[in-house]
Amino acid sequence: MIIFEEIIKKAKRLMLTESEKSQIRGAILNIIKETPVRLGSETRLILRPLFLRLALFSLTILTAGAGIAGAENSLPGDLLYPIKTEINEKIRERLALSETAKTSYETGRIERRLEESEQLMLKGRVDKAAEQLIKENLMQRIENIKNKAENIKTEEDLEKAEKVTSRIERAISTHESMIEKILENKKIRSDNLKEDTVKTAVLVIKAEMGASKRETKKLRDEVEKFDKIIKEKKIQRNNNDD
Amino acid sequence: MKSLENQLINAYDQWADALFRHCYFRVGDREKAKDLLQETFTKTWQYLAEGGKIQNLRAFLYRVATNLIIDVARKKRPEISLDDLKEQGFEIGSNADEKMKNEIAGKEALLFLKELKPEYREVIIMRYIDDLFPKEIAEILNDTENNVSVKIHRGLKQMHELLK
Repeated sequence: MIIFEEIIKKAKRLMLTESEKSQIRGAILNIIKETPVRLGSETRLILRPLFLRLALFSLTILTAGAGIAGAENSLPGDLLYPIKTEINEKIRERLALSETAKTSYETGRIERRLEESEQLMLKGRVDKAAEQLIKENLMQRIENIKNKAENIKTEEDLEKAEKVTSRIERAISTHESMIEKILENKKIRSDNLKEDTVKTAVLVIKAEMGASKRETKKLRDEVEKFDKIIKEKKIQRNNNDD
Repeated sequence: MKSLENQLINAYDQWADALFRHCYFRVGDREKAKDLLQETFTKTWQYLAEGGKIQNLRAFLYRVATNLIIDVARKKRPEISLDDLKEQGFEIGSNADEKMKNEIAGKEALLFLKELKPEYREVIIMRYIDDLFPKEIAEILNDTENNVSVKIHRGLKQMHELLK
């Protein structure tokens, strides 16, 4: 049986060749040159996602030369500390500390539900197991947890997010093979429809976990880029002070 | 402050492959997908040149692409057969270069994806190949997040049936 993830992996390998990409790029540039912007619309900015806006905001502060905490020469220790704090505080406002606690709680619940479903299936109660998963609206829950990934901007929160996703993933892997084995056992009397529902539930969770991994990686890359920019600006600033 | 032109071209450099991929798996033809990619950007430029405002450029590009794809679907859908795949894939051994292998992998994926109902295929591609969040997909398709989730689940279920 071919796995969904394999199909997705194959699909993602498809891309334009270098020449194709630059050829189309050139064609677009030509059209841009032929279609001038109407007077007055030059200044319309394409707004960026919040994360980048925060990054640009902090860069503006750095380059403007006005010290956040007052006299430039007397900033203690890390020059960027005040800026990082300000941004972190803004982020923490949005992502209240309790969110992380909530997330942990939610993950615990998901793990427990999966275990309970498995126990039920071991006892031959596939219908009950399916009922459990559906009633708990597991899918929606996992979705909620992963939507919070959108709010994650700091290194610390990223680590927490990664821990959460690996917990869920482990729970799935541990239980999935058991679930599959149980379902293969023909001795279990079950309503075929319900069996399908359970299988679908597992399938959806697996698919979402794959996506979640990729999302976490992207966020990590963004945070790294941000850190790099901050470091470079710091060096620049130090050189200017000399 | 970067000019509009620069911003759009930066967006192209960043998302051309992803958008091309999306178009390819929707219409099943490489050349057609390239045309759609180009048209997506030129239409977006026209919108900007006439003074249009864009809040989320990525979502906007996907929305334009989606609408163009719907127009294409109304006309004709080219078939990709197993024979095409055999011709290109199975006869070429390990000598095939990376590009060829990627193209073949893409075609294999397409064989499965094209079996999905169009409304499921659309969201499955957006969610798992384009890595868009359900919220973004809802915005692009002008639908609710809940409906998008339901379609995703049904799409996965259909995939599951196909893979048996």
